[in-house]
Amino acid sequence: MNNKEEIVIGYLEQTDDILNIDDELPSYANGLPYFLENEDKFESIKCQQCGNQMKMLLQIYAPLNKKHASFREIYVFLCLNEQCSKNNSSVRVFRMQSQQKPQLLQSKNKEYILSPQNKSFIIDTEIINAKENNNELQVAEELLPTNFDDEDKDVDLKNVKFDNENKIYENYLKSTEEKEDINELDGLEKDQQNNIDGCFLIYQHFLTQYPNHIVRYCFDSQSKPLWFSDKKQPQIESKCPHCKKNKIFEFQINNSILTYFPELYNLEWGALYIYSCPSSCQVGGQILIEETIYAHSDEQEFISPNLKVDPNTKLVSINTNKSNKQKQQIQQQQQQQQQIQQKIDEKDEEDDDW
Amino acid sequence: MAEQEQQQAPAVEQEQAAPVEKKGFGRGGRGQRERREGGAPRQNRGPRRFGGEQEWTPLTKLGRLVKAGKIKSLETIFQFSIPIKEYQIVDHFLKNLKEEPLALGPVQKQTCAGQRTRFKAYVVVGDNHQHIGLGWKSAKEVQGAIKGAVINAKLNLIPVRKGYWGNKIAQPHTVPCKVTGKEGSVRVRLVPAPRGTGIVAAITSKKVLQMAGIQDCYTQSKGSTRTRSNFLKATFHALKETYNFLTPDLWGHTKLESTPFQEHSEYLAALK
Repeated sequence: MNNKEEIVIGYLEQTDDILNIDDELPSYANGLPYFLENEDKFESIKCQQCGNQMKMLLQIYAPLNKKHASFREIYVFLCLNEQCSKNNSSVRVFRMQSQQKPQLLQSKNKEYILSPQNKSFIIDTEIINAKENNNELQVAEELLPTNFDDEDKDVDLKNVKFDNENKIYENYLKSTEEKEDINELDGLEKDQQNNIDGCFLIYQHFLTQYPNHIVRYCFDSQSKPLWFSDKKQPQIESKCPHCKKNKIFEFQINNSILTYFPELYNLEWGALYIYSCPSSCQVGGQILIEETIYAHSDEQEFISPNLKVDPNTKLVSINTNKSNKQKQQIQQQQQQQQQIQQKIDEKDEEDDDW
Repeated sequence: MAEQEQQQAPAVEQEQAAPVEKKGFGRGGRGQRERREGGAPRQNRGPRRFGGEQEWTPLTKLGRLVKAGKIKSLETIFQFSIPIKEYQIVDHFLKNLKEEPLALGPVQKQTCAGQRTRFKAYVVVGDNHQHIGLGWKSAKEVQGAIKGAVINAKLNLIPVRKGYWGNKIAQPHTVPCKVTGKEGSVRVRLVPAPRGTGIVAAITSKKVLQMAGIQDCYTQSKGSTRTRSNFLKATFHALKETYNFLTPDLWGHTKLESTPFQEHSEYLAALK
């Protein structure tokens, strides 16, 4: 498992020779995939909607501290067919692992190449301290017009330049026009902006802080992904078929990959979120193990086939096997939360009556 | 015993050796690029600043089209009611946007540890011609509140329709018809006025109307206009109504046009 205090970020670097690296296995994008076993042993990867062969977007080397998964590679495939692109099943993710150092076998299937005109890119990594990350997140929530800024927190605003705003403020103070009494500003804190997508603003902020980063990796049960948008945030509840544990978030691929590959211009999703089994089980002797991937798009036309929309909530859940009892429990929890919120609102109103 | 010890020793050595050698995702690889020979070093990012003068890489489809120069003006975006999610799009089209705070004051919230005071800023953004945006934000420092409010205002930008009071000569100068906007208990009514009247309104809404580019207007307001936030928002909604009103000159049939996404997807597909 990854150290909880680190988040690893991946950038694309152009290179001629992919295998000349210090890692045991390569992490790279756009090219013939390097499988750990002979590709005749499994079927070539095809789109579930249209049946065409999918292209490999990237593969990354993600070893774990466990013996059976010390050489572990994750492959992300996608289908470029226009009709499929509005569907979540146009992307698929697979995992290959082995105990000893495997032989790297390059695929001979040229259909796997995403962008034949471009060269291949290596994925270069950078580590971010999670505390710094959290601090930047708080700064972003404080300064961007999101709706999340209700809690008390200590925000460190050292790195922020306020030159422009200082000028505006000084002009405002100096202006000789009549100003109405400032204390008449109503004490209401909560002013909801209904059409502003707060999550997107924070996402955009992080992408400008670490420009052009493609992959954001933090494989931990408590790690939270950086969501692309407020709408359609899922509750991923798919389970590993072997150990029956809930899959946890491993990494996400951001929209910025589109600047490198013009073939991806028409794609609808904003970011891809990959969830995998926490103990990286070897499921039933399969060579290629499929994991869950969620393509996040804020457009209503985008379909996820396993989606079940609960009419009581705005959250959308991706799950195949969910018993009725669990559903009832979740509904009860939501009702309790609503009741608590109502009580808080009532208390606020009481205070206003003074 | 000796055999067991021997068997245990190599196993331990392997585990100890493993974390040192392995890199890649999951173990936190360092910039492997630096070790490779003949590779250009990655651009040094330097100390990270909020926002700053970094180049804008678009994240939405609309952003990509705007940056590529395929969309000629903001009116195309307004025509198809496409939501603007990136404020850099507005900056791209309107270079002479002015930002003006209209209300800056402290607001308080009761907590178990006393009162928590923050500053709330209402900022109006406009080009004095035909676009206006109103944004608000509360933050711990005044400057932070202004910054957030400016971004909010740019995302809330609307076009303003202007018309004539009487003879249709020279450029439009007033509201096309009587429009009203409401927020809370405040009702603001904008009435067309003859040329040269100027804006007949309270200071707060006068500023908003000036930045929207309206030269002459009569106003009537009702309700508790002392609540600045509601008064500003009511004026803003009234201006929004100008393009919602169906006037007789819009009665004619209009041709169905394809959205910018459809129009340019064919162009982009031709790239393949």
